[in-house]
Amino acid sequence: MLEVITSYDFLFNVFGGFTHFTWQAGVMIAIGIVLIYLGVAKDYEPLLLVPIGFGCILANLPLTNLIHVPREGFVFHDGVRDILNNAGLLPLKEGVQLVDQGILDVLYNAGIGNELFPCLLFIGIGAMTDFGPLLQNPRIMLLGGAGQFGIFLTLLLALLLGYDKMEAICIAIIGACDGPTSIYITSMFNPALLGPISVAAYSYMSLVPIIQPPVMKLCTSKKERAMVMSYDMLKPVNQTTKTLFPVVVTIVTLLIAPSGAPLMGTLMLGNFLRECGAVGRLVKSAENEIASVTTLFLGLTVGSTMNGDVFLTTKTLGIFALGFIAICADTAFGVFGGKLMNLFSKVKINPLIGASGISAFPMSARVVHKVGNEANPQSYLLMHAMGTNTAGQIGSVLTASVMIAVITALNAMGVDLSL
Amino acid sequence: MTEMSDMNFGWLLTIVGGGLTMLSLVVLIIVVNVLKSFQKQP
Repeated sequence: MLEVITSYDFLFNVFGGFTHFTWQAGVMIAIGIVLIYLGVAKDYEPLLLVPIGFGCILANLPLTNLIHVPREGFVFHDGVRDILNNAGLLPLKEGVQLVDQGILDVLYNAGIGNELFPCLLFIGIGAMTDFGPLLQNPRIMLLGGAGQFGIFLTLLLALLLGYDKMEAICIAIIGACDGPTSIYITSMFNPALLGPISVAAYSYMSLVPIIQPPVMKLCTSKKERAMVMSYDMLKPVNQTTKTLFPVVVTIVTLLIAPSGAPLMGTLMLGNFLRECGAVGRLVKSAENEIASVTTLFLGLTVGSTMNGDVFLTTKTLGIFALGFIAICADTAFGVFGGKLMNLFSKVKINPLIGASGISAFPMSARVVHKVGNEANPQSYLLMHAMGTNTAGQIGSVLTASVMIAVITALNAMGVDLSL
Repeated sequence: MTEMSDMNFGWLLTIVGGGLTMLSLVVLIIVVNVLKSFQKQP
């Protein structure tokens, strides 16, 4: 018996947690702990960073087999072993393993692999969003589009730096400052980058109050920042307009970019539930239970894709650097969009509000208000910036939808995007 | 399968993607203004 206990194979497998532990796993567990710390102690997007951090720790502990990452080369045993065996298809081709699903594999296949979780989250976000300030001054919707041009700049930069086409799209979309959209696009085009992209997206979203003010100040003069925007330009809207708005957005945007239906459709469904006033229970469920459960599962599963082999690469560093550029560029493009509007418009706006034309709601609007108020204590930009911020939500989903449409078209035309 | 260079792909996405995004927003502004014009004046 002593022989068995002291044998190398016995010790290697019985104490597998220790013997299979790698330095990459150690670094990833440390990163998981940092994410949890940022969420819990610093209040940086805790609803996402805490499950992401915990998922990262779970997935990097050796031999837990909760999830298989990267997912290429695995066929999940879900009662198919006998079928494959009877059909004479076992063993599988070399390099492909038949494995049992871990619980996080189940969650991944159920909600990330098929892009369901981001869409469920969008129903909740739609139910929580009030487009009232935007409808009161609809022309600022253009700033929600201007704010997305940082995405395209980052796309070009990533391609110049040698990232392949699908990687570049996933990196650029971080600039939307929209977690679910980033996850949706990455699951669709390059699931291997899900970990770094989502962590970069949510980290930068939580750092909006630190990242945006210096860029805003760099792009504006003190006089521009101090400009007071009258509340007279906000024309009241009635409930019928607010109720019809999500229906109109759905029809218009999906006629232009049908492939964006899962994103725009669910966002506007949530908002319609809110505004129609007839389904209070569904609204409550969407903004509480559905959003909370989905956030938990989404964060946990995304965190569990942060495998050391995939995450600890120079590519990840590049993703973080380009994501940062994307958000700075979005802010700058938004501000310059505001200045451009002033050239063609009689009623001037404070260009600062363009900076909130991103999807980080309502944090970006608050930051704009604060910067404007610092320049001129008489300036109250909050409601104007809230309008631009909701426009940024529509703009980011729209940009993602259009990108999907273009890529779908190129695929249909037989263009090989892997080259 | 046809090939497309990286930068061609980037510019195509930028021009078509940016253009369609802005076009959609302009259409939305017009539709919202039409909807608002039907509102009863207080």
